[in-house]
Amino acid sequence: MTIQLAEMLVAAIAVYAALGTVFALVFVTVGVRRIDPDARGMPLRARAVVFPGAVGLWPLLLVFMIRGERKT
Amino acid sequence: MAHGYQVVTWTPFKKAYDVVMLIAVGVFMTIFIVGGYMTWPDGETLHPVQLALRALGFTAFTLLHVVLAIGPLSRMSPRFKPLLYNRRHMGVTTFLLAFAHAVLALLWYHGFSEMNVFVSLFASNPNYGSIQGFPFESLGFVALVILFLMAATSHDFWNANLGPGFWKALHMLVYVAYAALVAHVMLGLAQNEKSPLYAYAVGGGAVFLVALHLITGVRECVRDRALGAAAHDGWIDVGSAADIPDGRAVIVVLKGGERVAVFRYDGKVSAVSNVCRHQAGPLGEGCIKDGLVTCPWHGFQYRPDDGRSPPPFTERIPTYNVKVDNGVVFIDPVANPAGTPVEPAVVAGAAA
Repeated sequence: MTIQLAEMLVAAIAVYAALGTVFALVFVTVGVRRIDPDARGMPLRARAVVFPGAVGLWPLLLVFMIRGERKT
Repeated sequence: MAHGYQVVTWTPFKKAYDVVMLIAVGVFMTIFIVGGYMTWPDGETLHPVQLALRALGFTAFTLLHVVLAIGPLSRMSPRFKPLLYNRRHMGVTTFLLAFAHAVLALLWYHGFSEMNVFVSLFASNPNYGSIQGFPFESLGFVALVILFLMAATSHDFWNANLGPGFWKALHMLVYVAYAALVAHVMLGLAQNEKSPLYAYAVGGGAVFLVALHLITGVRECVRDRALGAAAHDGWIDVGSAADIPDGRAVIVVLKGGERVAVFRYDGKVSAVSNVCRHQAGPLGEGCIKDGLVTCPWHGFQYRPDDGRSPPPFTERIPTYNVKVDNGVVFIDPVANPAGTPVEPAVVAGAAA
């Protein structure tokens, strides 16, 4: 892999992770309630456990949130 | 079950499970480090960071073997089933060890580079067209991303919201991660290690896992054929009610491969889907506990007559119409929508 290609790959991963981090903050505070009624009153520590997954899967969760419905 | 998410729903068993696992990880790493120092060839330099790096990597890789072996082993013998109950903690521990290994490797081998450490990771070895000189680190990166996604989505919240099908498919990527890791370790050994001992261990582990999965798969196919039920006037003959142990089930495999768990309890018979909503555990291998169908994997429960988890839980599984004729149990192969109440069939002469 050339340095230029590696720089593009790393930049893409960084942008994805940065957007995911911002999204995940919103998701664990208000988004979880929108897609899952059982998540109302979810303890802060449990939201922290959900946070990394929201960073990794943010495009999928964004779709869920826009639809405002549970996947299942 | 899906009500009031907690970080971990601790039980004494889970605590004991984690303590034993962490002690085993500590002992394994200690033996690896001490053994590494004692057997290191004279005249060759060995930095403690390199040894720690190897110890973390091999412990994670070994733990992944245990994680992958638990499933088939528990299908071969119920003695291994308790190992399934908290397997997710073992998976998360595997990721954390692999992550520590990756951070150390990144800092040790690329931290002193003038370029960005991540760019250095992907570009410092450009031999992507070579097998012998392939940059094995990139394979480790792929595996680490998969292990991260699995660890990050191991909480019940994800299972409930991604849906059991998607969640299962995501977690089946563990086999891709495993294949990438075998290549990562083998190529790393080929490029950096003179002793063939590690390569034999890695190869042996891969052969063991493949053989275990093949044996379990073949046994399952043979069992499915034996369980394949005959149809009578649209109803499926399950066999004599007397042959179903009280509080247990027999599993019927329908034509499309769908499995139905037919439970006998309190002189009655009910039929529900064999697939637990939680992690697709085999409900028919569980039992009736407190009047409820109880999954053998993580204890999720459903009422046998309507397939619904007791309040306040909300999971539902499909039910099947059932009848008993002259002591023989029949089920309708067409599943009712999840949570549909079905009157249990009464077994004549059975004590309630």
